[in-house]
Amino acid sequence: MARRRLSSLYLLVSIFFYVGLVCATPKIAIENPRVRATASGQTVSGGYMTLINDGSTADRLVSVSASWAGMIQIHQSSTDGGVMRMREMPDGVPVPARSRVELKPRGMHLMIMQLSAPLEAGRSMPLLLQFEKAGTVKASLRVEPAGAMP
Amino acid sequence: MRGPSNRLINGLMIGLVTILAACTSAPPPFNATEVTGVSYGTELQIADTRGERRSLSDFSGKVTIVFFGFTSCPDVCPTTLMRLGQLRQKLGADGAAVQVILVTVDPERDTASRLEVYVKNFDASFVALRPAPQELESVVKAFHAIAMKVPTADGTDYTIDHSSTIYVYDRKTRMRLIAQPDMPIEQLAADIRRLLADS
Repeated sequence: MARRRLSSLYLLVSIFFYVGLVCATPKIAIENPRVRATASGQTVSGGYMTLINDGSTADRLVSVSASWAGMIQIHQSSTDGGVMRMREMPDGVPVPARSRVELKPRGMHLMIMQLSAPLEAGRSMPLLLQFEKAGTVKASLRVEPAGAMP
Repeated sequence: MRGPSNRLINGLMIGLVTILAACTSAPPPFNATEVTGVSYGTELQIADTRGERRSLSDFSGKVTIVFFGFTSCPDVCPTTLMRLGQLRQKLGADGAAVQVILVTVDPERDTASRLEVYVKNFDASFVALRPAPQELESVVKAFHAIAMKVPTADGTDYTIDHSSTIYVYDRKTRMRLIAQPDMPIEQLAADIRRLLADS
């Protein structure tokens, strides 16, 4: 009897432990992931999305990869004094607790390089996003026509 | 005694001020920065994607928009080209009288065929010009612009910091306006309508 009580207590404690662990791990949602279609010969494109952290713990997007691109970097565009600049963000993109972080044209974006083939409008391209705490998050980039990229 | 003559003088004064104001009032300023008469960017002589050297006079009769970019630019350049395409659409029938020209700052990677496909992807009327690598510096300088290669952090690739300015020429190929690419399309369209109407 006592042993049974002990084991159910153990079970209860472990359930609480795992529930706690799951809740503490930030859950990242990806909204509106998209990439600009490319013309033949073009090996670089820009990817955009909104990173949503509904959790109570801050997280960070540290790297991005895809089988169809040799390299993907996280970049920030800026125009200062009439000059366009683009720089890699070596520390990734911070995603504070309960926040939405937008990767958008003329701001932070994915610089997708060494494309193995042109990106055709209408297709979906799988992408893996690596977060510091949330781990690997899958996304699928919608390929948007170059002339109508929102 | 005072009333009628004072009223007459007041009336005359108001009339005079109105006439003077009408005579001296300048046209309202453009939304973009007016640069009529500047000494830079007055001409260009650059090969197009078929290898033919083009000059501004080839586009005489149109309002011409020139800007610098390159096809490996993933973000700002395509966004600008897309917006210039939208500008032509917004202008409706007048859009046919607007010529957009992209001058590459990356002739080493931007081959003629690559450039041609790239610009046409945004708008079939767009023209791309490709200075020879050894010409690039003088072309950029002639526009008081800059283009600077910057290696990526891992050193395997490079990007190019370059002037984002949009140069706008009137139908007589005189440079009239400069703008930044984030300018609201409606404002730029209003300026271009004025240029189309007055020259």
